[in-house]
Amino acid sequence: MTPEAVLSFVLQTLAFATPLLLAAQGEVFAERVGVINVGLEGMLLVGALASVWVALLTGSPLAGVLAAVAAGVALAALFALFGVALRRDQVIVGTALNFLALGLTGVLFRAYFSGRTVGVAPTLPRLADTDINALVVLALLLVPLGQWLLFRTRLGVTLRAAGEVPEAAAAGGSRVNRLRVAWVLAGGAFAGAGGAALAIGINNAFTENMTGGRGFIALATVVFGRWTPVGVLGASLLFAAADVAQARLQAAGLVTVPYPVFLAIPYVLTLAALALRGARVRAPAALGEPFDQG
Amino acid sequence: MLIFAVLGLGALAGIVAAAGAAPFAVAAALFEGAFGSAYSVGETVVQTVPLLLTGLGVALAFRCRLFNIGAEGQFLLGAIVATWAGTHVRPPAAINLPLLLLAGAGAGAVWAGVAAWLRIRRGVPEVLSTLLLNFVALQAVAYVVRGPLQEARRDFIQSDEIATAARLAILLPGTRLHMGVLLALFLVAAVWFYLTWTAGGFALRAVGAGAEAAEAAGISPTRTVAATFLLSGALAGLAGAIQVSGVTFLLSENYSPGYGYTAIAVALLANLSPVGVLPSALFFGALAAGSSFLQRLDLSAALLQVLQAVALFVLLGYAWARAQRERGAGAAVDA
Repeated sequence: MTPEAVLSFVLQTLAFATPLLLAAQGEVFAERVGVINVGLEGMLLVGALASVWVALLTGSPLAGVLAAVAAGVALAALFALFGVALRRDQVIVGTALNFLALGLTGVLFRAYFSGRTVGVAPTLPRLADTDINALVVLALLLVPLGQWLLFRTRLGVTLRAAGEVPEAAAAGGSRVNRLRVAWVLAGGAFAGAGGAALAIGINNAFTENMTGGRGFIALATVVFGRWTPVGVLGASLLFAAADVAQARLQAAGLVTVPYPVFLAIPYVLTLAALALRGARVRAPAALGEPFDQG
Repeated sequence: MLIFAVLGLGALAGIVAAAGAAPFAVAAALFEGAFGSAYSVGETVVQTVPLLLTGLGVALAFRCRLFNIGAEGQFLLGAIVATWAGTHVRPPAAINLPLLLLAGAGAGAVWAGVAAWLRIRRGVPEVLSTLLLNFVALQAVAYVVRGPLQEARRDFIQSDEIATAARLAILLPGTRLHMGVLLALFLVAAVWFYLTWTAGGFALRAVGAGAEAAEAAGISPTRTVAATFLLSGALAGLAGAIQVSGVTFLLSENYSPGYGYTAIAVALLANLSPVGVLPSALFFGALAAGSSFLQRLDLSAALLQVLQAVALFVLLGYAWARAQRERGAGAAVDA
């Protein structure tokens, strides 16, 4: 491979990793504070639709990203209401969130887009001729910031305590549920931005169910990355590199597997990665446990 | 409950209006599609059967505090292997149908077994593994209908029709209602009996209530988790087999409209009770049958997903209110 080819591979991998990385980064914090949000997939999806819609309306990709963040936060707020404030089972609330996002984006997309000529959405500006855009850079910068926040600051200690021993954290003066709501909302913002990175970063349009399980793979990268921002970066890059490599091998005619098999590979890979790693990792102790502040 | 139902209906009406349709017309179309004629009623029951079986499976798993979100994948694997048994295996006619149904149930159990193994031996949370396995199953269907199970003529992306001997008989002439509904009803009773009156069912409930306490009482959580997973998967796989054998007679791409996901809503609305799954599956079955009339209003089936989501949130809100009330009553007793 020529150096140019290697560089283009690396840059495309970074771009493909960005939706996963953003979603997973938010989820690391949510899970560290004790909340598992299976609705990650749904938040990515509404982010994707909102970014395309608003970018088309305004002609500004930046407005598209902001709309995606807002849509992610709105869905996260619904999760926070049921999953944290009303103390309902988080897996069930997350599943309901995914139903809602899939249905809502489907209904709105069909009502306003399909069957009409809408053109391509304005995409985020790219660096020179590469796949790199501002969201890719932002996602990468957030990794060291997140790592520092989580392990080197007082805020990080408070946050992790709420996910490990919420009773003790509450006794120490933490408002556990308030912390949880805050980080769930932040997770929604991140996942929404991830949806924008997918829809107007890598692509230039919305298609129904375009996230195709990326939110679930992002959930897996959190486990695989041992609930740390740096670990999640590694896991996202690994999955994205496999994705890009496959697409390129397939395009070059070097590997020809039936298309459905090709599409199944990321999920099988994720399962295999979890199986190899799974037994040796431990989730935050109070993950998924509702907390009653009394 | 009323206030949550009103809130939910309000939210739904808003979403329908946002999609550019009239809420009342939608409600009327739903009702027409579900109960408007003998055929519609038949369709409602046809849609209820897969929801009943997958819903039973999910309810069992959730009772054991196992988050089997993989009924969809287990349903699809059941449909794949049942189709294979109906098209490629040529057993004596008398055992063709039972073989097909057993093959489907077995396939569902194996698919769930993967998640059980991952959880027990490798510590992988079943929420993740079952979700990911659903995507693999979806692609497995896409692969087999283009490859090993594609029809002999290779014109369409679907399998051949299964042997006549492997089909479930029609129960009500003029509708698509098939004998599978009787099997499903029998299984509701069987699962209720298992859960309520057998040692296995007791172990399941004990582990669901707390694995440590169950272990102290001499129940093996590992074995119970494995058994529950297999049973749950077998029910979903059987649902897939019945769908092939009683409704479609062949396998095609995008085979399930999401029965395995709706099953979660079915189980929760039933409060995880096997008998409660009956009205709950009927409710969602009527919605699914009714939604076929939405196409006339140029609305997509996506609206059905919105409807299910809103129903789930209404339910969650109600469960919270009930918990609050019980807590209030408890406090009064304490005082």
